[in-house]
Amino acid sequence: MLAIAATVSGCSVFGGDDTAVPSIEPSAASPDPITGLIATTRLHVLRLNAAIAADKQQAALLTQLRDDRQAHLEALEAEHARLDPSAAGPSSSASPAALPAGEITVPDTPAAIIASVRGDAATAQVQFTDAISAASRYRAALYASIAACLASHRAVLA
Amino acid sequence: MTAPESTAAESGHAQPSAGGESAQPAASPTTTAAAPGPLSPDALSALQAALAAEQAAVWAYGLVAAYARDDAAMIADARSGHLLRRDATAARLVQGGAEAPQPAAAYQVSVNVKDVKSARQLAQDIEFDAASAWRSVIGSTDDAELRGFALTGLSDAAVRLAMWKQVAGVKPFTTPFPGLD
Repeated sequence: MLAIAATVSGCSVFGGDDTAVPSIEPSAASPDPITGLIATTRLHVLRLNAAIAADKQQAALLTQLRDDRQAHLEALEAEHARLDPSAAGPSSSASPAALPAGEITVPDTPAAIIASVRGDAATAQVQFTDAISAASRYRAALYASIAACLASHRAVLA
Repeated sequence: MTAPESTAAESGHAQPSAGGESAQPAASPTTTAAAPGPLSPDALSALQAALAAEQAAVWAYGLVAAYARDDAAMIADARSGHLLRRDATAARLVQGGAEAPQPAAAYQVSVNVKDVKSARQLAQDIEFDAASAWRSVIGSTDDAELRGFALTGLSDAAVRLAMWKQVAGVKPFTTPFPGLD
């Protein structure tokens, strides 16, 4: 029945004349790849803030890690602004408290919270590692240092 | 830690690898790593400094082991990692057409090692120096393969540095920019 309908309508279930328009496409303007790294870092700072609030026992350690990620965020934003002055301006990363709590939720148990933070570190480590090969020398060293920091985060959370 | 003067090495170019046209055995992987290319003068200098740091690390962990006997497992892992990296770095230099300077017979260290605490401090210094050296390699080259090689050295050193700080109770355990601060 489906085949008949497809024949009648002139298209196939698995493909046809209609071309789906992707909602995310490469930009002709070639945005600075650092913007994706900044977005990930900002999200992870938010998630660490939520984790610190939820896990009092590990709050001291998580605060150390949050401070590292906050430093990453500020360095990345400074680097972005260096090459694109239009990106400069009042930064939302001026201090951890300046970041809104938002809708960030954390797992229910301390172990799950730590696992979640460790997962974020792993995700970011991959993202920064991938960005190294095509970056300028300065940025490659910056990204590599951040990736190495994230590796150390995973180690102290293990 | 003060490393001795490194042997001057001539910059050079790797010989083109031979072969490559023969049929692959059935069991061969479908992709293989690209052969390392020649080293630029900047990369050569940085890589030789990284080799010197790894050679010093191997030597200095012997000193750490003499005073931090409770940390024997950590020391063995760290020393083994630096040994492997030292040899891989020397091989990478040779593949890049350069010389791999030999290690010194002994090194002068920045810490007066006399007990567990000072031994652990030396271990942190070792990893700090290694991280700095590998970060410099990344900042000295446009070669993606060499950057990846150096990133492994930087990450390994950052992890070991954090572990040593944790064992020594030095907070914070981690540093935001290993190899830089």
